[in-house]
Amino acid sequence: MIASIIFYVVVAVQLWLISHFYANRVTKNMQHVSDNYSEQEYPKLYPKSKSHYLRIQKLFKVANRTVLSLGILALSVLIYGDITEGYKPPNVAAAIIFMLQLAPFGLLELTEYNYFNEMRKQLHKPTRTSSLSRRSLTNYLTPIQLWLGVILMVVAITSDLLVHQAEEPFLLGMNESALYRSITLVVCNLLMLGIALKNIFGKKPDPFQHDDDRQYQTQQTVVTLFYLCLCISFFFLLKSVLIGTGAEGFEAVATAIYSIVIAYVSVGHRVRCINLTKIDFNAYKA
Amino acid sequence: MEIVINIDDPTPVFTQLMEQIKTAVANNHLPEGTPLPSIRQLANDLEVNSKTVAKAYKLLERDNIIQSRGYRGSFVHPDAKSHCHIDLSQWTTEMLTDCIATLRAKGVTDSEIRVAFGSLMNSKF
Repeated sequence: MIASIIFYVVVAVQLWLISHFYANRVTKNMQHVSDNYSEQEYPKLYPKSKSHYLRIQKLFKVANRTVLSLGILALSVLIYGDITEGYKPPNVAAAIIFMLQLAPFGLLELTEYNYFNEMRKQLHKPTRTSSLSRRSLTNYLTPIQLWLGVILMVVAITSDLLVHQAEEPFLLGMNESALYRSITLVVCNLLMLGIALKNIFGKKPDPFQHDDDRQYQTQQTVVTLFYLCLCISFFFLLKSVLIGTGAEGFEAVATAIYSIVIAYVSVGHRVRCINLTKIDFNAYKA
Repeated sequence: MEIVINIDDPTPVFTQLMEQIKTAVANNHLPEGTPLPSIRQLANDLEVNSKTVAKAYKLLERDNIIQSRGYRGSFVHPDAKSHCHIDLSQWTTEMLTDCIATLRAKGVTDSEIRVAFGSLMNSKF
């Protein structure tokens, strides 16, 4: 019962945090840009008409409100089922709601990708600049942080394999599902590393962005990806500890808390680190 | 230290890169042993083909301005500053001018010089 109550509270917080609080912060930032930087003075900011971006802003707002309503409805159904019929909330409930909540943010990212492509089509600048200082992953993360990420991943994999060792050995005494989970964890970490390296060495997505702004944005992205890696590994470790100690009842709560932490370090960190007053908008002037 | 290239400039991009790196070394903006950005990083930042940057790096390495240390990347050569003022292109032009002047003095025609130069350049040394 205690696990269920904690679960409902955590899911409610998750709904409020992602679909209301962070969604509003993102909308406010978009609103601030469209209110303070006109299409006439900053034409490079609007590769398509300003009304097109205002429509996207409105759609993002509506999508978040819809997801919030659906989430509240799903949570109510779960609580009702628990009280009347004694159904326990499924472990994946929080993860499904979380995925649904992230959908508008994911769509916004895709729109951003299109936005930068449109910007690039407008790029007719004959002069191009670059810094002559070498960038590397260690400019953004200390070697201790990098080793911490690797060690936590190894500990999580080892712990998961050890906890499930006794169940149906599949390959070299390892359990099949634990082995697949381990592979997933490694692939996830490599994917994050790949995205980080693309941010560090790849073309800058926004062709007009000032180099200092790009540097700051890369720093924040790499740090976010690092925290995500830590969170994923820690979640794997926590799940194996819960199963190992016979506290499977708290698995749903752990998933819900994990969703909140992921939202806090990804969307939250991104929202917190954006300081619109520090961005050099002169780069987008005609 | 920032590098600026102009793609509309008649000077080839790799020459612009070489000149600016040489100037940076000569002005102490890039001291000896300083690590240089990787070819991929510079090509992506300047939005030029990586072969262009590779060519500039190769010529700078030939001129002893930079040195490649395998997987560790490229660094400013320990004697780069003393090599900055050596312009191999200019030296080549001066040598050929002298040679052509000598040949003309001996009565060799321009077309004979061109044919001889062309066949020498096409033959394998």
